[in-house]
Amino acid sequence: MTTIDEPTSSPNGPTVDAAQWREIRAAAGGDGEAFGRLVQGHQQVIADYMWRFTRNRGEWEELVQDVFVEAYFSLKSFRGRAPLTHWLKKIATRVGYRHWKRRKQQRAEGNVPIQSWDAAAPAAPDVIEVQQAGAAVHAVLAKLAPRDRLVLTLFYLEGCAVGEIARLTGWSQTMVKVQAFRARNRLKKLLAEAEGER
Amino acid sequence: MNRLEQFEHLARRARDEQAPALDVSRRVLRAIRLPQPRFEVYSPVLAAAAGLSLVAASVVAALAVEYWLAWSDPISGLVQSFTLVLQ
Repeated sequence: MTTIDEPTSSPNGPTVDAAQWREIRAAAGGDGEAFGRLVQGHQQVIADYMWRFTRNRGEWEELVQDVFVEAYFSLKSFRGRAPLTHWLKKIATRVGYRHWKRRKQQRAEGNVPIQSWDAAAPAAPDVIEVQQAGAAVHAVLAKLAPRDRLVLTLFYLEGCAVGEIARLTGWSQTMVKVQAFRARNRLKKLLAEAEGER
Repeated sequence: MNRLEQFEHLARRARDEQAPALDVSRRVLRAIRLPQPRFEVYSPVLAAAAGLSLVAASVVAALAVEYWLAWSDPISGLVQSFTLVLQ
């Protein structure tokens, strides 16, 4: 078994403080209470992130739980090269993407509800509610294939740059650029079709 | 503003969206103490299937023995062989 006595240092300095590292070590050694504290400290960040993957409350809670269960069983491989949140988000990306792939058959039917945008976006761009905007964007992205949806979700909703998307998905940067270009074209086509169907 | 720009505007707005408050810590702790939840879910079904298979196998075996006894009459064969050996 690999021992994890000290976090691996990063060129930018320590990414995990000593107290958190002790908690991580204890949790990796099977201390449920230490892991519970780590979950409590990070669950809202992960819950916000998983909200990008589903807006169904039951599924969302299950996805958040899955992220932490996977994290627990992989905790021994955490070296502290990046903050724990980054590492958890990488697992969360995998869990969310897998969820979309599983539900590929149930991709949202019907037209993109662009009519509702007219009421809110052009006339009063900053008045639209955040939740309303989130729901509208989610409804559009739900019509795309999982790969397109993932890259656009990370790009538009998480505001990630190419390098960050590559880190979260495990794809190369070239692959991310190609995927983003194609996904954006498919999004444009989808929106044009919805405009034509009005 | 075209549709793509509208979409991008909505997406920028949606970046600030936060999910409802959530506490999964208890659920997670319960889940990590049961490392094989799928097996737990399906175990009653597996146990029932195993039990039924055992009963079916016993019935088939009993029928096979009964069939063999009825048609080949091994006991009188054994008696005859034994008598011949004695003679």
